Amino acid sequence: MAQAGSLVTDELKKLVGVESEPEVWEIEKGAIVKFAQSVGDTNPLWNDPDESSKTCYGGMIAPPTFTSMLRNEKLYDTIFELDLPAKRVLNAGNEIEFFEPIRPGDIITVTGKLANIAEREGSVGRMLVLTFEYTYKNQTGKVVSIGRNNIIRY
Amino acid sequence: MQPFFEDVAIGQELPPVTRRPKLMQMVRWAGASENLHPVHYDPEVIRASGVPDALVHGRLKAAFVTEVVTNWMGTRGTLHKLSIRLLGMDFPNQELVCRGKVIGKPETSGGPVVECEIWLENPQGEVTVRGTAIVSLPHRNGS
Repeated sequence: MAQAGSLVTDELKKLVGVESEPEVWEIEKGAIVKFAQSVGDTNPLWNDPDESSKTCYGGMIAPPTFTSMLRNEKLYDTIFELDLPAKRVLNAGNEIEFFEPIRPGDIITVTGKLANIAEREGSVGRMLVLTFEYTYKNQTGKVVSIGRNNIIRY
Repeated sequence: MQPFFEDVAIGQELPPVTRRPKLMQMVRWAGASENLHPVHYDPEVIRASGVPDALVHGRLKAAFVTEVVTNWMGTRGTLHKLSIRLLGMDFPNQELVCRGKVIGKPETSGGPVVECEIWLENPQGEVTVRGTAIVSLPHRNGS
């Protein structure tokens, strides 16, 4: 049984550490450029095939925050669909580690899990901090990036 | 201009990045990143949520502050880790100033790195995004 008055339900507790089904994203050059343009980021590494080919990367790579679009839909949906006493959702932030660049043509497999639940008293009252952890692997099996995302439910 | 590790001093400020996102840019980013939550563009949902205007996406603001680091470190710099805390709301048509500062040059198992603090200030003087970035830079001796 969940503790009386706690926002942590038994259903939620059961999800901790459960790895999601992998989701696969094919990285298109056009998607990288569109993403960079929507940010207004003109860095040649994620905009210009010619200029980027003259750098140590030998071609275009994805910008650092590009992983924010490589979601794992199933896990993402659980964030919004979980029937919790705390209904409202806030994105509190991210931590991303980068090991290898993501390049056009890469096939990125994203797995994720609810890594941690914390209950806190904050400015918005009692809240849950849900930490989701995502692992991004490329077609050679290398982990290119690990991301952690803190979602607040209150 | 490409910075070198030896030339970087703790306390040094990075060139700021200023953005004034319009609703159109937010919609464009929502489409490009497939983050389609309506509180960022749909007037009805915005009203029902009790916020005064469309919310600028936290991840778009994270992208703005990240540019401070990637613009500065040049094509020979490498970003290893980014930590972003979203601390407050921002709305369209406001000037968001993203700043950065070198706060450390720690030694790691992979060699020396540069640690930067990055943040975003809105016109009300609030810091609504705060984070850190760890990067490595080329050395003058070519390593």
